[in-house]
Order: sequence, then structure tokens, then C-alpha cells
Amino acid sequence: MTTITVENIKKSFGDADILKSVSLDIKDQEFTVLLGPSGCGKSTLLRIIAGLESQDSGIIKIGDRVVSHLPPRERNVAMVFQNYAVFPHMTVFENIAFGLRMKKAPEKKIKENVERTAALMHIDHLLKRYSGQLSGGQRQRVAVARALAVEPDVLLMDEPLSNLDALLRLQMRAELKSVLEASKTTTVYVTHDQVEAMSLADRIAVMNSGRIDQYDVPDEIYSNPATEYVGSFIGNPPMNFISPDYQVGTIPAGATQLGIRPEDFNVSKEARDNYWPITVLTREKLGSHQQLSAELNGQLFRVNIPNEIEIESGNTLYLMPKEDKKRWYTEGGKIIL
Amino acid sequence: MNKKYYPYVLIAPSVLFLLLFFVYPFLEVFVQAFTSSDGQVGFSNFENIFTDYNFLPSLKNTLLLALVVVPVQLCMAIGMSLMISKMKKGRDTVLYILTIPLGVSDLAAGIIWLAILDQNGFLNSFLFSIGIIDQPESWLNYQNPIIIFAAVVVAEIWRATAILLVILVSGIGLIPKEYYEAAEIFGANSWVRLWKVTLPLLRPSLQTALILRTLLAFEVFAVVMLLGGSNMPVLMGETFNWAFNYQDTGAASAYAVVILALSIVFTLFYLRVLRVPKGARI
Repeated sequence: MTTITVENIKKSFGDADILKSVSLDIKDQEFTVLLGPSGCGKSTLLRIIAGLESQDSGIIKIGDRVVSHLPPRERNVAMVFQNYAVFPHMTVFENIAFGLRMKKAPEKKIKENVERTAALMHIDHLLKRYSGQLSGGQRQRVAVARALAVEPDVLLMDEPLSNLDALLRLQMRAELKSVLEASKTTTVYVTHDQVEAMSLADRIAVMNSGRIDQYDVPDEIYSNPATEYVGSFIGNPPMNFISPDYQVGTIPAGATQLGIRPEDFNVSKEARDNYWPITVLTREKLGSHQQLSAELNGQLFRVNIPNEIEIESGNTLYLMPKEDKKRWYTEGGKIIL
Repeated sequence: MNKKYYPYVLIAPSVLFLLLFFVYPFLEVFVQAFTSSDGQVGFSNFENIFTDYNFLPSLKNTLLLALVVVPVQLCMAIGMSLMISKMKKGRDTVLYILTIPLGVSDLAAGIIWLAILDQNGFLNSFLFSIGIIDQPESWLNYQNPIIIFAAVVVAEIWRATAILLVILVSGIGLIPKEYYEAAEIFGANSWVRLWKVTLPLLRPSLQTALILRTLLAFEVFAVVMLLGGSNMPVLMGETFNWAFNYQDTGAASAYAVVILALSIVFTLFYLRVLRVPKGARI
């Protein structure tokens, strides 16, 4: 049973408040992704969980154990770093064995674990090499194998895929998912890539300048963004936020913005009742669908429409947001449920 | 002029300078070392110096000095460079202050330590003033060879530790901090991190520093001359004696060749022992 409890963690560097009282409850065996743009504090939070950085106040618990003031080596966590941090002066075998050797594990167990995790990461043929003789993807595999070999309570990953090229990233992502699912280790994963987050996470914590805006399963994050910020950060293109002036029907009390995903419109080429007439500014064909940038009385927004609809820039198109997909937000950007 | 000749033209003056004032004298030393006074080519100069009563003591003193000074300096430099690398503020200032002795010539360094250890020196006046001794002691005389040796060791450590220090500080700066963090996460305490991460990754710098410092230790001269005089013969001092006191350039050249041979042997030793396997660099 390895839960992670983060309670009111605060951290500032000089005048900058990096984390403003962050709390998280991560369940046993859960894969949590900390998602946010650079500078939102996600890496700092991960490093505080790891013990590489110290919090100004607040508590970190791993299981029932308060670890806030323990050095990293006493927390039984493993970590995969963005630039791999595979020791250049050791062979792949010694790298993977490092954590076990530090724990003074018996030689037999070291050999077993190294070979098992190396096979899992498909690097069993590279055990005698040095990291200088490996490609970036192979080094990343070594870093993951090294982390898994110690059978940690908690696995921490700091943007592990961001140094790989796009194709390799896709492949490693799928592989990581299956390996980590099988290992059943509670995992915290930091990324700024929303696709990575959506595809890997059991739950995503979306961070916004030192706070967690929403902590939920990917589907909820996508369809019910808790704040305008989450809606505009997740989704490509992001959620549209439109003033409700054009809206017919009931508007909930206090609502100042209508949030609607680009794909959640009914589209017509002819004028219809309650449909908005929009002017198409640009059209991009994306293969599976086409994406429009459009304008309605000075408000810009994006629409995804099926390929079948023939449309040119400058044309007028008629839209109506789907009733069940409308999300309403307050002045302060909070969702109205 | 054709642009592709530019690099050669620009480097030509320094190459000429080196050829004239380094390579030529260097070869000349070899020629002289293997040419006897009557013009015969052979080993007579070497026979001369090997049978000289000062040869073995000077070889022993030089090697012993290097053997004591270099390891002590290495340990000190590693310790100091680790501390300096941890400093956040004032790091450069501290480094500048610690490297001041490097700017002092070895002759001046010898004079400084002579002024301290001399019969009328600061050490005696200090010890006298606090009542430990009743009259000035003559520390640096032939009856105290160990004290002379120790004095030279101290002076050399004071004078030349900083050269190791600057090389190691820059070497430590090249090690990415993620390696330490990874080691820390996977259970290494600071002592283990030093032995398993810092020192192995520092091998290239250690190699450079040790080669440089050991070769300089074989050339130790002025400090020994001032503190020990003829009571502590060293190879470089003997080279000087043969060249200028005995006016025998052949024998002096033979000494120079011996020092060169020693330097080559030790350089090869360091290259071998501190070798970094292919692909294992940062």
C-alpha cells in the first residue's frame, strides 16, 4: 500500500512563490501526472516529493510514513530524470544495479533484478556498454530500468520523454504505459505535454502558477475543465470561451463565459434559427478533420468540422453549440456545475 | 594571398619560436648527454653522474619529495575544491586568494619560508616570545635532515597546491548535478557520492592535475636550494651544479635526460591508471 499524501506544501525562491499551498492525495498504484506549462511549479513539487528540494512548510507522506524531513535515500523512491542522468563511468549493468548495491542487496538478487528489468526495457543486449555508446532512447531505457530495479514504493519521473525525438517519444510512451501498468508502482510523472498526460495518466493534476486547478481523471479534465485555465490549457486547439451575449435559452446565474470545445458545434451552411453566423478566417486541413479559425462580432474562436463540409476562408458558416457540451464559467474563471 | 594559407602564416611565428628556443635546445641536450668530453658518442656522461656520490641521494630526495608532496596536495586540493564548489557567494574571491602563491616564483617562495624558518626568522622569534624556547634554534642545519625535508614539503605544499585546485575546481564544475541527485535518490550518502560519482567522473581532471604537478615536483629546485642548500641534493640542483659549478654540460645534460625519463615514466603511469574507457566520458 503506497499512497502519497501532499499536504499544504509551500515553497518560494526569493520573492517568487513557486508553490502556494499545494495538496494532493495519490492513491496506491495510481499513475498521477503533474501537468502544466514551464514555471508552474510541477517539477519543484516532484523534487520536494523526492527530497531533492525542501519545502518551506507542509507535509509529505508516503504510505503512513511522514517523509518530509528525510533525505531522498530514506524515502524509498526512485526517479527518472529528464536528461537521464545515467552514470557515464559505469556500464549499463552497473547503472541498473546502482540502487540495489547501495541497499547492499545480495549479489544474486542484484543479478536477477538487473536482468529482469533490462529485459523488460529491451536493453538486455547492452548490459556491458557504457552510456556514451548508447543512443538517447537507449539511455532513457537504462534510466527507467535503474528505477524499476530497486522495486521502489514510489516512482517519480521528471519529463522523461521530452529529450527524445517525436517518433521515439510516441513509441516509448506506449511502452512505458504497459511496463508501468504491469509494475503496479505508484507513479508521479511530470510533463508539459498534454497528450502525454492524457494518454498515460490515471489522474491528472493540472497546475497553474503554483496551484493545482484540477485533479481528476483525464476524461473529466477534458470534458469538465474546472477552470478557464484548464480548458484553455488542455485540448488542441483549446476550449473556446465566448461571451454569452449570443446565447439563446437559459444562462446560469453568475455565468460570464461559455466554454465550448471546438468539436462540439452543430454546423450548417445555411442560416438556421438560433445558429450563429460566423466568418471563416482560415481553414486548415488536418487529415481527419478540418480546423477553422472563425470570428463572430470580433470574438475569435476555433471550430473543428468534418472534411465533407466544403468551405473557404471568407465564407459564412452557421454554428450552434451542442446543448450538453456547454460549460459555464464565472467571472473568476470557475466552472458552474 | 590565398585564404587557405592564412592559418599557417598566422601560426608560423610561434612555431618558429618553439623550434628555435625549445626543440633545438631540447635536441642539443640529447646530443650533449650522449657525447663525451672527447667527442665520443656513448654513455660516459651517464657513467659519470651515476657513480657520483650525490646521484643516489638526489634521486632519492626528489622521488621521496614527490611521493610525499603530491599525494598530500592532491588530498588537500580535492577537499578544497569540493568546498569551493559548494560555495554560492564569494567563490571567485576565495579562489583568487588561494591561488596567490602560484603567482610567487619558487625562488621568492623559498625566501619567504627561509625568512620564517631561519635562525633569526619569524618562527624562532614567535616561539621565543611565547617562551617555548630559550634561545634561537638553528632548524635548517645538516644535523636535522628530516626537518629540512619537512620544511621543503611544507613550502612546496604552500606554493603549488593551488595549481591542482584550479584544475579540480573547473573539473568539478563540469559534472552535471543530476548525477549527484540520481546517486542521492538511489541511496548514496555524501561519502559514497564522493567515491562513486565525483572522483570517477573527475578522472580526466585528476589525470591532468597529477601529471602536471608530478612533473613540476621532479623539477623542484629553488625552494630546496634555499632551505636545504647542499644538505639536500635533488636532481635539478645537481643539474645546476654540473652545468655551472663543475662546468660539465655533458653531465648536466645527462641529468636533464634522467629527469625527462622519470617524467615520461610517471606520465605513462598516470595515463594508464586514470584512463577513462571509450564511451565512459561525460
